[in-house]
Amino acid sequence: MATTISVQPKTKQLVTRKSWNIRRRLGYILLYIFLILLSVGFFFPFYQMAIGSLMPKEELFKLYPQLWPPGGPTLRAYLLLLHIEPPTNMAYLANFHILRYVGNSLLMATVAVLIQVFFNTMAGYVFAKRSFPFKNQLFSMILVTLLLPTAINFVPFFILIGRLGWMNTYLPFWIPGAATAFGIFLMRQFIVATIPDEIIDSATIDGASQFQILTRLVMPIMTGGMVVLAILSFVGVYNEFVMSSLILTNPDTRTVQVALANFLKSNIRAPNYDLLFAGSVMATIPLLVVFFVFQRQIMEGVMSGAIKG
Amino acid sequence: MWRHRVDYLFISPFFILFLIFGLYPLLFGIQLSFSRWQPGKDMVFIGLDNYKTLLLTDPELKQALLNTIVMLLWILPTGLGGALVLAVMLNARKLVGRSFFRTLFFLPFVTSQVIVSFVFQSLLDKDYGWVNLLMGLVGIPPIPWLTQTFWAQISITLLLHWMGMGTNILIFLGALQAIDRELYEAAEIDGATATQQFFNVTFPMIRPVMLFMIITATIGLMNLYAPVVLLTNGGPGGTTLTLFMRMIQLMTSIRYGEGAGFGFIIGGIILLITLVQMKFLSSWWTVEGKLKQ
Amino acid sequence: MIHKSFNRRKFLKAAFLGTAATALAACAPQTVTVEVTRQVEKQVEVTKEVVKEVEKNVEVTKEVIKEVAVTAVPVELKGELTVWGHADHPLDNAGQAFMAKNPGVKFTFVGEDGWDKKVEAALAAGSGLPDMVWYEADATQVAARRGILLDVTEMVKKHESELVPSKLAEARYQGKYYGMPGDITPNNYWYRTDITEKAGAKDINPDIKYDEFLQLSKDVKAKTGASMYVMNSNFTGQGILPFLVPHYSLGGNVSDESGENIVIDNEIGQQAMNYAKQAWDLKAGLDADWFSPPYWGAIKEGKLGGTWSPPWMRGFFETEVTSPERGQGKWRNMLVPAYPGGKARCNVWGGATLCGFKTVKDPALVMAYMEYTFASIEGATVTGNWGIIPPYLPWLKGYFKLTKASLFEPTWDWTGQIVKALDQMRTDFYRLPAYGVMMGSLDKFGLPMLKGEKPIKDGMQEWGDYIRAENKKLLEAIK
Repeated sequence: MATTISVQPKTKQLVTRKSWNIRRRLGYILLYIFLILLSVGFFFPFYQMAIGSLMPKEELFKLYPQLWPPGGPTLRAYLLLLHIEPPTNMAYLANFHILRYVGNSLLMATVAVLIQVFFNTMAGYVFAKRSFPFKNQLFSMILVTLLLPTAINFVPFFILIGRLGWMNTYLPFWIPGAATAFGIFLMRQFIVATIPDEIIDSATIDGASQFQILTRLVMPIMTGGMVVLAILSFVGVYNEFVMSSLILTNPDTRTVQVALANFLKSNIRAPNYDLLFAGSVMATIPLLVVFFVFQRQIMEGVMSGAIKG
Repeated sequence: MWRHRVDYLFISPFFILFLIFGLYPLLFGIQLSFSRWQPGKDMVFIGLDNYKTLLLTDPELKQALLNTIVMLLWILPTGLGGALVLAVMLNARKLVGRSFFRTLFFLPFVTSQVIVSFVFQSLLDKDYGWVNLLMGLVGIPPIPWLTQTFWAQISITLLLHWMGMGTNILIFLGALQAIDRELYEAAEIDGATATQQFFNVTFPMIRPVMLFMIITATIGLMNLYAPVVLLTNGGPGGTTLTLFMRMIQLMTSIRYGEGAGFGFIIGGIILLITLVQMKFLSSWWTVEGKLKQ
Repeated sequence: MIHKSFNRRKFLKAAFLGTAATALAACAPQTVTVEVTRQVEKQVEVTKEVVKEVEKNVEVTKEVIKEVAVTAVPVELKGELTVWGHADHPLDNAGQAFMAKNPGVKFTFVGEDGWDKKVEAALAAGSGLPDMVWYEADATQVAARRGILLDVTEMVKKHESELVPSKLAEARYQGKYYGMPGDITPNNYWYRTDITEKAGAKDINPDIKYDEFLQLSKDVKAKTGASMYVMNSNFTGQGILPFLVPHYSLGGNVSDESGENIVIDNEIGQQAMNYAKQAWDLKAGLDADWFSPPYWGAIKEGKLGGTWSPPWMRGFFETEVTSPERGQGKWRNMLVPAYPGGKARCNVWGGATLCGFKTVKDPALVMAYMEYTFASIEGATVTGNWGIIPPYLPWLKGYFKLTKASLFEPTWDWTGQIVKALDQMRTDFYRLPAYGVMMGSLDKFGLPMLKGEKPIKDGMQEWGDYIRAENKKLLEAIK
């Protein structure tokens, strides 16, 4: 962990007008103590999940929770979930395919992201760099839809999905969200900030079509911004629960969130929290990987997305 | 217009999709909220009956509205206030490990509400959870985190904070870093204390961001559903029932018309709250001082 | 026709002989050793074993048993079946056994929480419904009134005399059957003898009165730290039995037979809530959410010494209570403690009906599965071994005795106690749509009364008014 600690370049521009007095040093010490304690608190749920998955079921939910399994960590929960170790007395496990559910979630989220990034960048580009009649009115209209509460549409939206025959498919997560107000807004902001008008103008003079400008010029420059949007929507779709729990009722199509939520109650006789934690770890790993690979982009995206709004 | 056909084509997906998946359900919802309907049966127009029933005789509406507002009053100040304080701390000039802390606080962003609920259930368990064990060490008697109204609301608050604090911190940090350092230096020269600096320099500069976040957080909380369902399922005795949950309840107890009407009532409440917030905090839209860029 | 010449007289004869065989088997030492395991394949074997053992012991039954086996084998069936219900389900076991018998059938059981919401969503969407669901009594009545269920009158009528009448009533609406009667729930009081022994007296007087029972609970709690009933501070799950049991026992109802008049707030209801409050005020109950990890933890640690319990609870208990230290083989069941003026010393909690939807692809296949599961010796054995009590009289009167339960004392006649409770069951108890409204609002209205924040009379009145209003809205909505 210590290796990730880095010094922000800005702190190098030391302001030495005032002496680095004791009171201030004390303040920093208190600050560190507070931040470290809080960090432990913030990290602890992750620890609980990870260590819980490595504990035998018997050790979980004992009167005194354990920080470390007394008999040493065991991979049994993972082996059981992955069907490597044959389950005894747990027939329901045979029908629980964690890898398929994670795969379903990844499929659902990846396709959703590809569609979203493309259409939102397209619209964002037009709103950022083109001028045409009613541009501002149309853009305002898009922003207004952001204020529409999801509650209003929930029931009828659902009926519509059924009438389209989209039950137990991923289409409800791909098509309606292909172009979103938030995405268009975000991409517009990024394009305004990063692509100078001159480049576009010169490309237009060279006779490039709008589609060529979008795919050959804007998109390559905009990769950073697209990654931000991609990750935000990836996390959103991957973790979606309410809609998917109602739409994906077939055991084969359900996502890992739905499967895990059901798994909690799917073994009423013996709530296997060890298996549940192991499943949770497996469900979270893809997102953690994405997070650590793109953490700069994500955090900058979140920071800049709001500040420019 | 024809000259700009490509532009319109490029932005058309949003509008086409909105017509189908936004506007059509909206209109259908309006029709539904004035009707009695259940799957497989004809829709019967019943005028304002659904709204009358909801507003006059539905005790859950009041309960859910009250719960949602109580939770809003818990979550908004502690969440945004806490995030702001933490952001100010992380913005301390000589802080080593800023990005470490920032990353750590932001890490819960990647977890799902489903999984977080499992973990919090086990952490907050009255007899078997870590939280009560640790509090027991300093002599605090076990707290019924999930089974008593007040504590259940606190538990939901904690869960939401854990998940969302990092994002809020980042947004505030972004806003703070955009403030010109010279402003602080000037204040320091004038002999302002850290607290004075916060109220006279920092806060006025980030008020627009704050307002933006208050409004979005309010809308988000009005749609609060999954964490509550998974953590307390509206219990104990319906005291953590949220508006959104009640709407789903109505729908699943076959009262579709009322469910649709409830959606519009929620929408109305959100609109009202947002307008009130905007009115009372209208001065917050403007920044006093100057931004870096 | 799936069902070949099914002669009821022969069947009853078989049942009688089965009983005789069982009785004989019980006399002979080391005869029937049926290993009850949760594994489905084994359960099919268990069924065969039971049949085999009976055959071995009593030559006479041979012929009849064969006939039972023949009648239970339907003509070749093909197709797919999907059933939704709560997870960990006897219907899954029955389905696996059904598949083993009919290789042409693909059976899928989807057991998950919130399946009822999914049913509603699928109904609204107009697609995505399963073939069958496991509806509680009140939900069956709601669905029947909505006209979404498959009419199975023809099939059920054939078995009318072989099924428990009170259960049949729950599947009936306007003279027609909209589902196969599922499990019956003649609830008992269970207690753990090693804990009562530790507290001083192993046996509980079979005629114990409610006030004596409370005193006993207090003593046991003081001496051993174990609770003799579940009363959680949420007033949910098993914690509601301190109210439901006296309510049933005293002759209470949520609504009358028409389902339109709410009577929960009458004197019986108030008295029942009074009894519940006594248990609450005693503070000797186990405060853990039903089936939560702490609940199971308490059972393993011997913190639960007794509880009102439906028979189906056994199925859930036995996977957790897996060693004598945890109470395996230490439990007994008996009639529930007597309430002054009480009519029935049992109650009903849970117990669902197997319903098909109107939209099913193959009604004949659906009915064949229903028939197999709850109107055949084989199906009843599979579901009975899981832990529920199928409503099939020929099975109940004979083979039921053969069902082994690792939870109860080996010498304890636990099935006899359930049969005793069965005889106590009321025929004037109605679980209509209003029952669901009651169950859904019990914690909300009950808690203030239990906590003493509201006088019971006022609280019950308020609750009654609420159920009245909600029931009206519900009946209106499903018209």
